[in-house]
Amino acid sequence: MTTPHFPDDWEILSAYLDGQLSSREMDKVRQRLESQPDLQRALDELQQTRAVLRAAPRRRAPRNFTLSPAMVPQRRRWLSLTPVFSFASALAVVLLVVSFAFTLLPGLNPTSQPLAAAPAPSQATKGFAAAAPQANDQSGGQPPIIAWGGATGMGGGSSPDQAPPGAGIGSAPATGVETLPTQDPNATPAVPSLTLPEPPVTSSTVQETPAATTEPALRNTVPSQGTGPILGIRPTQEQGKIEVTQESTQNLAYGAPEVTPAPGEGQTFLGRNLGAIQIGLGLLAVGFALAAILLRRKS
Amino acid sequence: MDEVALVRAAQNGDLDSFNHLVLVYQEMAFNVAYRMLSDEDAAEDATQAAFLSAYRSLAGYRGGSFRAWVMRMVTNACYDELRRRQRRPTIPLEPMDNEDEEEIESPAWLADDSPSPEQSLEKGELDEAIQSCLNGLADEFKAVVVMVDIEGMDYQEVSVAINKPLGTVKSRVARARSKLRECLQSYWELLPAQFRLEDEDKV
Repeated sequence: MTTPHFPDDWEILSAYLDGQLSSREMDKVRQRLESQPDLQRALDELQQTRAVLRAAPRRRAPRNFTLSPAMVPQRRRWLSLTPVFSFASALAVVLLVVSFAFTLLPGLNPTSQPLAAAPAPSQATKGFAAAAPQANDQSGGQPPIIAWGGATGMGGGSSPDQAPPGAGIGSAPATGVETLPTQDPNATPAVPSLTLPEPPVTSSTVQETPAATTEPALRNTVPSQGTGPILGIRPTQEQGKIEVTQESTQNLAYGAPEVTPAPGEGQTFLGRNLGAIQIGLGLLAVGFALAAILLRRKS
Repeated sequence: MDEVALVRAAQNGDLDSFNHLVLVYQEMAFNVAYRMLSDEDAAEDATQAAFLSAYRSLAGYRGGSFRAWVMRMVTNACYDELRRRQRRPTIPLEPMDNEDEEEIESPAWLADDSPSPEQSLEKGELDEAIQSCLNGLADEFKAVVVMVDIEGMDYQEVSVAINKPLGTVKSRVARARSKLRECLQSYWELLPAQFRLEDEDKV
């Protein structure tokens, strides 16, 4: 029995037999067939093989293979629940991500002031740049002390160095407070202003009555460095500093009135329950995903 | 109701519509399964499993040739059965020695009453000759040549059925035909006249 000269010729001849070649390839094969009798012979044998296979007797199906309702029980009900669980799992994951975003992204979580205060200096500096000269002039030539980081006067007055982030709402973090050295160490003593229930230092108070304004504010000011007492009076070297909060400097810059937030009950709720919410969402996501997988396997 | 409407109704849970489709394709499915498995009972089971699988997977049908899609279910069911046989082989298909590939003269082999090619064709059993040659092919070649040459499916449909590119189908058809040609060589002279080549100069 003849064989083509090249192994690929079998594939070409087979495709030629079934009309699976392009017209150009068909012409090329025809030319070869005319000049190569062996190739023509191989094509004939392939054609003969195909004819034998096509003549294979067909068998009748021994029975009907139709399906009865008993063979496919409750298929639709199971299948309809699967996407529900899949969607619920995906939704739980999305909510989990959102909750993490509230925890991590600045500005979204009121309880994450330490992180939120990180990018603030540049903005606060702008505010201060506009307000500082004015405040400087009206404070009797004393250099102001500027604090960033939400020293809005709420919370228990704990030291930010010692307190965990967000433990005292509105507490200024250590990294968020910058102090400028005072020129007069005998000036009005600085007192922590972080946890005052009263309104914090405002632009108007800074401008009009520097001494009166700084006194209640300084009373609660937390030292940025060192180990000063929580509610005590600042060390001598830090007395006489004027502290300006971030919000007050921003308000100075933009001229907006400062709004002192009410004692944050909602924030406290979020701060206390965010972890539990995240754990719950994680459990829901895993549970729904497992349910969807199990249903899909059952179906 | 045309096939598209039947498929759509079946996808919506209408079992009667699906059974209409089963009646259309069951003979083809059974023949493919029989050629793949070379056993009527196994082919029957595979065909039933294929239609059950098809019904359960209807949501995954995205159009195109429904026949090709059903044949994919059939070939998958046959592959499952062939894998099961490989895991639990019952009798050796050929009594070959692994080293020198010579036949072992075991009593079981000697007692084998399988008909020789001559006997097969003397009985008019062209069908058995074809099946015997098909059994010598690897499963993936067997599936392709059965669907193309015995069931008359085009390459595109077979490509869908085996979930392989068109070039793979083309290549497998060619190789399967080449091997079948060699196998059927022993039957040439006994083939019915319409299958004999006019020029009898074959070796």
